[in-house]
Amino acid sequence: MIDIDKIEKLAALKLKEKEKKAILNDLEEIIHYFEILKEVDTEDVEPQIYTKEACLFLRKDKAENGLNKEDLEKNKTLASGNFYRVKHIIGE
Amino acid sequence: MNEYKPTIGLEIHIQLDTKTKLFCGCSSQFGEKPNTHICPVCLGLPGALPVLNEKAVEYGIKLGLTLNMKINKESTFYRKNYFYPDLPKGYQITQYTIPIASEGFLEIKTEKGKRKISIQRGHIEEDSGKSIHTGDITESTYSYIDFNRSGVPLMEIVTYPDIETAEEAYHFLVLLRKTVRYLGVSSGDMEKGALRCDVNVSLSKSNTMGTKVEIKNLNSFRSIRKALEYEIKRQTEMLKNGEKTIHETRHFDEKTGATKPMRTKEELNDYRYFPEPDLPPLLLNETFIEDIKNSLPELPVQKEERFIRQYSLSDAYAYEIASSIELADYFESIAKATGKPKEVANFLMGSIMKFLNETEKTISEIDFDEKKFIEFLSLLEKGIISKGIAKEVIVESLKTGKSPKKIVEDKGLIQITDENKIEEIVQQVLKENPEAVSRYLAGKTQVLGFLAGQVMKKTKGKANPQIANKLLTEALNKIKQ
Repeated sequence: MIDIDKIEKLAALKLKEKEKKAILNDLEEIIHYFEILKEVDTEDVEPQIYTKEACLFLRKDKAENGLNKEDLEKNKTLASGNFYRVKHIIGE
Repeated sequence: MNEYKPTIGLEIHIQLDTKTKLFCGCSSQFGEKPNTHICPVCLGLPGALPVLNEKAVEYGIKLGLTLNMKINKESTFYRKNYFYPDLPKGYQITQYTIPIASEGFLEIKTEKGKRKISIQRGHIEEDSGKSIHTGDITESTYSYIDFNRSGVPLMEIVTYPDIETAEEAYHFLVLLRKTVRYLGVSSGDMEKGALRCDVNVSLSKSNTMGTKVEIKNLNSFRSIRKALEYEIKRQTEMLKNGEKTIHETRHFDEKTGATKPMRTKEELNDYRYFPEPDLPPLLLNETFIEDIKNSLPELPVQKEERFIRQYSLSDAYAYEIASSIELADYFESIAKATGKPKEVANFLMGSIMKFLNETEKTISEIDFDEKKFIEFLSLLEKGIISKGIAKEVIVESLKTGKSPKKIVEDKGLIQITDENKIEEIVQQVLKENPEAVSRYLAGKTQVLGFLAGQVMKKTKGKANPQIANKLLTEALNKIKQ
């Protein structure tokens, strides 16, 4: 069962009843899709994780500039003290 | 003797001292203004892709090899999924089925002798951001997040439940911290969160394992030892009373020295691990591993043993000096330059350490180099200064940076070896302390020490102690006759 109210709360969204219904519908459809996949017989099939024989590329340990301060400030992304502020979620 | 045997396992997170984060080029510098080292990758913004830091891999291998582990030529990254605001992607990239290093051990020395603690695995993973809660954690409405730490590389070391006492756990951690510092892969500073440790402990009478209790909030090695001692006692008492211990996570309270149950959910966390599709397997070739193996420095225990062999240091001095690479390097360079390792060790562990502790400085911050040490030892050997004065000279030189010779000259600290001068003072002392003299004559020879002390006091420590003692004894014997 999908608890749409809980998802709404955790995602810090405010949804109208109509939107809730639509999202619930979408989510159920996604889950239903996996139910269909379950029907495939995977007995004796080794899990395949990567489709190509690729080797991991390693990066040199050299610092680069990340997001710039002005952009962050312009977008008012950060709260006081330069922190991101989020709704408290302990115990949820 | 406790009839219940404790079984302890440790999970240690070690922050790797790379310049940049594990999967992006953001600086991993500690202590910066919040959210100044962030980018789409470590903020988990849509579409951002991780690129693995070569240095973190190298450091991971270094540590793995040092802990006698097997380096896996192919290891994979996984996503560990959980929901928490300081984890912006909603998952942590870590290793799961095949970590970079597995199956090793670290040999520790305790009062009871040497013991090998087996290590199960060592894996590379990314750190989370840092949450700051204002006020009471259970009541505040908001959490504040700093993502500077998000994506900083960690190596997690997991031991087997192989440790049997709080003492052993402590020794293991001390040696592990020393080791990471020697290797230069981490600062190992617990107060900066560069080394974090969770502890699992259970007690059992038989060979079957008891119920595991996890302890969190351990901010120092001392806390870990105290928490374990408390927990072993608590569980022993429960079991003795026929009660059952429960599987739980407990929080250590630094103030009371007790552990308390944490509010946790009953069900086991399901992290829904699955392979990280954005990172193909990490393939390592033999040469890469060999090159790292060949670059490994001498380790704390090896150095300690060599110091005992090569410089005839006592076990205690060798242990103390080899406890930090800076101290060991300083000792060795001075010992070689002066050719007098024992004297160097004595002054290093005595006056110099005392000065460092009092001023909260480290050995690399002081200016008492080879040249000064040679000059200082030669003043002592030639009898220009006494042993007592020597300490004063060293401290003065550490404080002011002046050369030992200059200090001796400026302060007039040259040892008095002139017998006539000392004899004069001896006579004065005997005259001023008739009581002590009569006690000496009555057979209480230990007052000689007191009288010698008076002579040193009058000469401000400058009298040659051997001469002073000799003259004092002679004078007293004369009175006796």
